[in-house]
This record gives sequence, C-alpha cells and structure tokens, in this order.
Amino acid sequence: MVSSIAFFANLLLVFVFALGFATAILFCKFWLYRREIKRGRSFSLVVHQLKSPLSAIKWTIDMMKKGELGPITEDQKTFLGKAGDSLDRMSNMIFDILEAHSILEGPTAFELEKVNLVELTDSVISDMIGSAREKKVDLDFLHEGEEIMVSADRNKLRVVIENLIDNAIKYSNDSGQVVVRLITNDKKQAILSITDHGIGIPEQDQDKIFVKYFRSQSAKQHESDGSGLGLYVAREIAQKHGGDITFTSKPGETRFVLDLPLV
Amino acid sequence: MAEKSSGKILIVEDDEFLRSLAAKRLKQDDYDVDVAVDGDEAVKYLGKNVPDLVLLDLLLPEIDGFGVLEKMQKIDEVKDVPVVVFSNLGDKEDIERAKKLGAKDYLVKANFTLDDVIQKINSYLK
Repeated sequence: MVSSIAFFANLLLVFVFALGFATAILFCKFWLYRREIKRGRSFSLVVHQLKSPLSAIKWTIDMMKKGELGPITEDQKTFLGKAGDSLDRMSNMIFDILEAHSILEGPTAFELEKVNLVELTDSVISDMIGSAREKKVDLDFLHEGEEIMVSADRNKLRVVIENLIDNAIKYSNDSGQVVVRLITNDKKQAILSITDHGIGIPEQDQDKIFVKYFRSQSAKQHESDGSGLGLYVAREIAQKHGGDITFTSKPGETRFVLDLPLV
Repeated sequence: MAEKSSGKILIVEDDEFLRSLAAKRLKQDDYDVDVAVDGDEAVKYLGKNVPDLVLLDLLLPEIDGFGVLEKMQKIDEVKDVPVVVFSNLGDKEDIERAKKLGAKDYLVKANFTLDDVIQKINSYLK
C-alpha cells in the first residue's frame, strides 16, 4: 500500500514537472515573439507555429522517400508517398480554415479604396493562366471598357475573384473553356460572371453550395481535396461589400455572378 | 585532394529541426554551410564573414529577419549577397517588405520541398 502511494506520488511529481517544463517553453517562445504579438500578429504567429512543424515533417518524408536518410524498401517508399499526400491534404485544409478565419474575423477591418475591377480581374487571370493551361482550359476575359470602379478591399476582393475562377477551372472538363465577363448594368452595378462548361452542380445540392464546409458529392469525386470554405468566404466578402454572389447551373454549364455597387 | 565546394551558405533559422534538415540537404549538394540561430548571431556573423548566399527565416527571436536585411544593407561587404527569404509568414505585406529590404526571393516553407530550395539557390549561384 505504502509503495503504491509512493509510486503514484512520484508519477504525479513527474507529470507536474513535465507540465511546468512545457509551460515554461511555451512562455519563453511567446516572450521571444512578444514583438510580433504587440504588433497584433498573434494570428500570424499561430499560423507560423503550425506551418513550421508541418514543413519539417514534409521535408523529412521527402528526404526519406528519396533515400537521403538511408536506404528504404519499395514498400516503404510507397507508404511514405501516401503519408506525404495525407500531410499535404491536412495542411491545405488547416490553412483554408485559418485563412477563412483571418479574412472574415481577423483583426484587420475591410480597408476600402477605389478599385478598378477590370484591372484587378485581369491581374487574377494573368496569375491563373498557368493552372488553366495545365488543364488545357481556355480562359477568356471579356470586359466593357478599361475602367469599372468599385469601392472595395482590394486583397479580399481578389480572394473572391480567385476563388470563383479557380473553381471554374477546377470543375471544368479538360480542354474546356472558362469565360469571364465584366459589364455594368442600369442598376449602377458591376456584374462579373464566370462561366464554365464542366460537371455542373447537382440540383439537390444547389441550395447548400454557400454553406460553410459543404462540398457536393460530385465535387468530391472530381477533386478530392477541398475544405468547402471557398464559396462561403467569397459570398461573405461580397455581401460585406454591399454585393452578392448568385449562380445558375446545369450539367455542362455553370455560371457564377458577382455583383458589386459602382462608385 | 580538396573537395570542390558549390559555395558558402549561411542558414538563419531558429527551429533546430528545420535548420538541421536544411543544412544536411545543402551539404549533400556540396555547399559549405554555416548557421545562425537568431538575428543577433546572423548580424555578428555577417560583420565578419561574406557568404555566397543567405537563407533567411523571418520570425526570429530578438532581431527578426527584416532587421537582418536592414543591417545587411549597411555593411558594404555583404549588401550585395543574395538573400533568399525562407519563412512560413506568407502575407503579401511580408513578401513586399522583404523584397523592398533587398531580398532576392521569398519562399514559403510549407509550399516548397528542400529540392525546390536547392534549385532556387543553384539558380543564383551556379
């Protein structure tokens, strides 16, 4: 009986010591990074602290797969490949969730300025031409005039346009076409439409497409990765700008429309 | 016969595991590698040595990577040494700030393998 009490007392002591040690380490890390915290970058710090061990694991798996940390069997190589793929999927989901949080609930308010939507959309399309070409998708941009001005947070609006065009490319069939069209209407709105001729959104899923974390079965089959946050975040940003995102879809054609008030 | 070195790289990284992985990989490609575990150590090293390239993390204790870049610009012997920022901070503002302070390139660690980093370094040195 006495020896049992002594054993558990020692175990408790070890536990308390380990907890204290871990707390001291965390305190030291945050003390050292206090400058970043004072700058209001505690969120960036969290993201950084998550990314660093993930980077280390990714690199280690990569080096092991290539035999740079000693010889491995073909079987081990295969399983390391699968582990690397799983890690990538997990990382992408974590960062999608963190990015959504940062965009919608982060400390920085929307910083509005006059933005030329023609120029912004053109810039996004230039960045995405590469991924469109990889899928052999033609990406065309048609616009009314050289200047269509809206009041927007440029970075956040960029996220919306990137998301809509990226989805159109992703869910297009190979060798398809994505048309981005930008016009104004008599309601003093800028209307940006993105049309693809891909898999379409099943009718039974269409009322859920903007729901946080929702992904339709056909989307999952076409593209297994994805957090289901993109359209949710895009619509939230559009609505915070006084606009909205709507869509129509049938197999073979989907059109998403972003409307924003003109300035 | 002495082995031919591909060049001397200074790795500035406070995470021991990441630092040792990067150093190991660079040495496999015949680079001479020196390390600094924080910004202070990096600045002291650069006051006395001239590497061929600096691989620089940004989030460092005390003097951060931006501070190291600023100090490098004030030391004639190292102000033209190419710096590749290698950080998990990836905001557009961070990238722009680093490049304005003289960084030649900016790689987000989570998005690149060590092979990608080697290719980038080789493009600047070989």
